[in-house]
Amino acid sequence: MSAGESAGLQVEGLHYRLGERVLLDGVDLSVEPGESVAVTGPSGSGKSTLLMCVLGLVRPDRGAVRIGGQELTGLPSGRLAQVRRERLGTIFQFGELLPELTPVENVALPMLLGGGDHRAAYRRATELLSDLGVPHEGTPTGMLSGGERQRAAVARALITDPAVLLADEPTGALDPEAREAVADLLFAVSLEQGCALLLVTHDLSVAARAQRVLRLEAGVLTDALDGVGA
Amino acid sequence: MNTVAQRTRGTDFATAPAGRGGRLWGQLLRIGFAAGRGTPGDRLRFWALFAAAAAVAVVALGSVAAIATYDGREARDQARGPMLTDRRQDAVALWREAFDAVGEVQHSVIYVSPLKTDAPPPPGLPRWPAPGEAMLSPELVREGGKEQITSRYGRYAGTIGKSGLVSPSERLAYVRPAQTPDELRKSDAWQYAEGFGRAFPMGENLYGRPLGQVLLTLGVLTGLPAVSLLVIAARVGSRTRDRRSGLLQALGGGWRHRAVVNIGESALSIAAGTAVAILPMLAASATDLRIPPTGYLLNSDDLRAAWPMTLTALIVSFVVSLGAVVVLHRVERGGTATRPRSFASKVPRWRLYGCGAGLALVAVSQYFRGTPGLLAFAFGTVAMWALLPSVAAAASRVLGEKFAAQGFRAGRPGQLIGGRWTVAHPGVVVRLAVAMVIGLGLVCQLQVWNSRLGEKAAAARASEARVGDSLISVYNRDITPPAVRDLAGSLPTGAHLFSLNTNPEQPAPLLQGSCDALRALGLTCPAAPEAAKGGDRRLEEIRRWYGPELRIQATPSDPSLDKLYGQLLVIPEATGQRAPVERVAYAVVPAVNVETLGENWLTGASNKARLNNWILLFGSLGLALLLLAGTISAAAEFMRVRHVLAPLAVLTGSHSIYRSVALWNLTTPLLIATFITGAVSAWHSLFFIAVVQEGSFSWRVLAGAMTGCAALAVAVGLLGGRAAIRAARTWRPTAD
Repeated sequence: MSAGESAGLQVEGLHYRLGERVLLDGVDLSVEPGESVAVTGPSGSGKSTLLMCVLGLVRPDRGAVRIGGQELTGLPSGRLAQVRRERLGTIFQFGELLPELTPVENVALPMLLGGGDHRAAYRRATELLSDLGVPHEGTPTGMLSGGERQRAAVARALITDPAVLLADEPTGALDPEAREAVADLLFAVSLEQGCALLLVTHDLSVAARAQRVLRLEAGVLTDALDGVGA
Repeated sequence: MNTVAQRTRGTDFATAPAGRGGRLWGQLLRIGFAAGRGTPGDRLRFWALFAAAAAVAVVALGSVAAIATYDGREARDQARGPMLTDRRQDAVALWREAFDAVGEVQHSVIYVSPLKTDAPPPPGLPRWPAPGEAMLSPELVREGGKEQITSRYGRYAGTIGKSGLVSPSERLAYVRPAQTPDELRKSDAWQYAEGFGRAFPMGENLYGRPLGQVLLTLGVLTGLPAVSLLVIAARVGSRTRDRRSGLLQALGGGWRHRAVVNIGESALSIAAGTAVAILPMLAASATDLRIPPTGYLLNSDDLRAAWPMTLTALIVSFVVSLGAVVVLHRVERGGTATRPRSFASKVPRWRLYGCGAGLALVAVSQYFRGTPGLLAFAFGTVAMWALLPSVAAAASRVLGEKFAAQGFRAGRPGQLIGGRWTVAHPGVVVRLAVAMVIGLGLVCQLQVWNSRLGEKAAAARASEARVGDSLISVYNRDITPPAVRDLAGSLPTGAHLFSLNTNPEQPAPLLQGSCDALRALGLTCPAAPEAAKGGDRRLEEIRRWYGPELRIQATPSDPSLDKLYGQLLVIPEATGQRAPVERVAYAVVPAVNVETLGENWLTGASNKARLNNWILLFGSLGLALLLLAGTISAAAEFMRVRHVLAPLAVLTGSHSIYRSVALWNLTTPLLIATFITGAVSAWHSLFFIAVVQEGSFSWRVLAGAMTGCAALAVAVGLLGGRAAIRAARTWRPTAD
């Protein structure tokens, strides 16, 4: 597949070795806009490394990562950060919201950091929080429940209208009820917004909701259902 | 994955119960040691503990140095003190003490005249000085160069050795007059000494303070800040330690296991800090070290002799620092933090009222006379200064809200977050502001107190500015008429000699001199006393000091001198003639006093100012420690919150957000604290001056101190931002 053919995420022949240990051994992966892919695997199998390669935080030994047709590998750090800002949205296990800010300010932060129009950022943040059912008027971020905080984190990831949404154990810190709600939301918004969703999780019940479930083991990515390469 | 968790695998408390075998303890120590090197953010903790241990050790060694120095001083003072006797036949020497000054610093001049030449000289002297010879301490030679001190008391015959000086920085002179003992004995000021070796306070020991006071000052001004630094350092990096402790607790470890791990974790940094503190001690033991700004030279022999005490102090300091880390590491029931606490939300309101009450008390203290007024002023001052940081924090909080609102409106994330953090954590500002507030307040108060010369000293300073050394007073009750004649005959060319009689039973002070001398002052030459009419500036100066009704009288021969109320006045032809006048005066009359008018008032004030230098030394050391403690505390707080911001900053590549947040969160509130404190310091000092009607306030000193604080505020912000950026760069999503 060549650059520009897809607006989603393409990973080609990714190799990454840590000392003697091969973490990624020619990983190929493609996530189309609106498609959701879950990556599972045992601890230490390299799921987070794969995510870091996609984020550009770790430089692979070989291979390429493309987002919306734009090759990430080899980009200078400034340009890389710009691509991350404009095309990637990330959700972490613990939400990582600033308790001192209001939910609206937290969600608007990526746009503000990117130098976007602040009025538009606040407007969009309010819309997203309303859409995702997070109370945003009068409730400080510190008072939100775990599920609400994670939904606010999803809203924050979506505010830049990313082409690719990355989620690193997004339901790992939630109770079963909140986990269901956040998982529902995540898959629904990626479909609605037409962004490629790459989800890394231990939780097979959450992974099962993805359109495709892949398993990373011994550095190789295989289809979790039939063992066929991704 | 938590690195500590990885390292603690294999430490099974269920199979190795607490206290069984040395292997477990060794393993726990290793875990702690590895944790100390490996956990994120440990660099701050390492250096914080290092600095705290060094500070505690420096205070401990400072105390040792003080004790050793006082021991040495006492021994040398005892060895050189004259054993006075009334029995002529037992005496080995004639002995008397007099005082003189170089600059405004007074020193003792010990006159000796041996009666038995085979008797050993005072300690520090290689031999008895020959008649007309003087031996001076090295410090006196060094400081008195400009005043030609080596020729003042006679022929210079070398320096006094260290064994004869209580400290190498003592200013002291041993002088043997040219006169024979029989001539000298005409004055009853001489005493017989049968040898040396009895405590007799003289020289520098007259101006010192007892050891207890020195240790107390060191303890309060430097020791307490060192302890506060230790407390803060012990709590830095609590996030990681909480997790480790929780893990140990979950595995069945008790407080002893946690203590051993903590010892392993902090021992290296504390040992390194303690070891570093010995460097100044080693330097001071190798050579006599001068302590700025006091100018005091430590005697290296004293410190070398105290090595067992030094070693003990180092071990005690190490144990205390390590113990503090272990004791201060609490594991709370909720399993939450031992991290430096910050106010949950608000600065307690009573603090603001308390500060206001202190301010009011200072303001109304002027209406009470005597002790109640003083007490009101003192209590008000303490309350005001103690609670002022909280006012600064409350003001910062209000401003933080404004900053955040402004940041929100303008879409500036740094201002928004910094403002909100200031509102949420005013404690960070309080801790740093405490040091700055105390520092600024102390600097201003010291400056004002030092400027309080007293009326007479202020008059002497003014007199010095007006006439300098163009009017020199020479007095001593041993000045006989032949001595006056000798003096008149050997004064520098063009100098005139007067006598001034200030006997209060006279109608007015009387200035006598030859017609030539009186004419040199623009006066007439009356044979009988009459009022002095003339406007010569030197005459004006005499009137200022001894009364406006000054009378004059011409004397045909040398002026006569009243034994009790008389003094000689020398008016040289030009300024800069003091040294030759002193030289001839000392040659004629041993132990004579040669001064400009009111000079002894200045030496008194200078003694006070030099003692204040010790307070300045200990105080500034303490302040530096408080500032360090505040900075570490702020950095720790900043490091704690950086975790939350790291993912966004890393993913958006917006590292500068940290700089911007640090600017609004640290620098701006500290600048506000600086301005509030500066304003209050100025008011307080000016108020104090107005009440006591003495002293002056230096705006330059305040401006300098405020500039220092402002620079610190900027530095703390820059360092905080830089540290957070560096730490954030290493952040990686590690949720699995």
